Amino acid sequence: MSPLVVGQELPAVRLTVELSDMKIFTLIMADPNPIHFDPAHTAALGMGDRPINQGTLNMAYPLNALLSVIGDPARVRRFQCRFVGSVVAGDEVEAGGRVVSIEDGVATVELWLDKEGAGRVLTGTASVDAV
Amino acid sequence: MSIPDIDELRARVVNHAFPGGTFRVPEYERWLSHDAMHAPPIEAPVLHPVWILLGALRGMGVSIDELTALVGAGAHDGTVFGETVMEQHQPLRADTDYVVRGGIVDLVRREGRRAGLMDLMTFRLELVDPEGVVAAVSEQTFVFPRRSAA
Repeated sequence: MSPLVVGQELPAVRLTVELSDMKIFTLIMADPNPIHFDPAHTAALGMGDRPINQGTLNMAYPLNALLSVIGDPARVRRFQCRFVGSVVAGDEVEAGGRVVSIEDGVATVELWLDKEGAGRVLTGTASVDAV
Repeated sequence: MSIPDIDELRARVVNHAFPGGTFRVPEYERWLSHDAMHAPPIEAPVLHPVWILLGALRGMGVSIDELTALVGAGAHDGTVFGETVMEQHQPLRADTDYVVRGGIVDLVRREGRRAGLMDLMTFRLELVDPEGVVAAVSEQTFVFPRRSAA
């Protein structure tokens, strides 16, 4: 379990978004929205022929970058994020973060998710026990 | 599908309490979900923090499909997440029963340059552990595109 320090950059998490993961999450979320699993449906909506990743998966990636450093999930007190772009099956994404402040033992960590060729698709902030 | 009047819609859904309910994540589902998330190793039975939202959605007593219908939209309109806030007082655990309680706290209509007309619904849910302690809180905004406005 590592203490956090101001200015610390979280190691980037890079991955290719897989439709098979999205299908598992469709079942976990009991979400009938076909934009998350049916290429024909997204195409019919004019959204391209690659299904759109679930928001819950997009928010997991930067949290993973954080968890890979802090270890114990119990250190996460609060997490907030905004979805500012979509991620589709086959996209290459990179999650990262930076410790921006520490006050009274609680670190504020900026988190993000970037999509290759498109820039930032998620911005967030976590409040985390610094030690 | 016609677009509901925003004032009528707000009067009908804001402060609407969900039926609520319970959820329990079996260990195999913990494993599968962490695998699909590409999560780093998390010692069982602790759940990834994303389960605060997943559990809230699962136990709130209304499906995403029903929530979509509640605001007069359809599953085929392309409902997406807007903003998420999660508070964690203690990590959620697999094979544990949690009570979920809460409801809709806000609904606003916006018009985006590219996305067009959309309604943003926010709901807040508490996740209560078997000892009656609030383990986590989920506040979630869903975006309902009003495609029939085009």
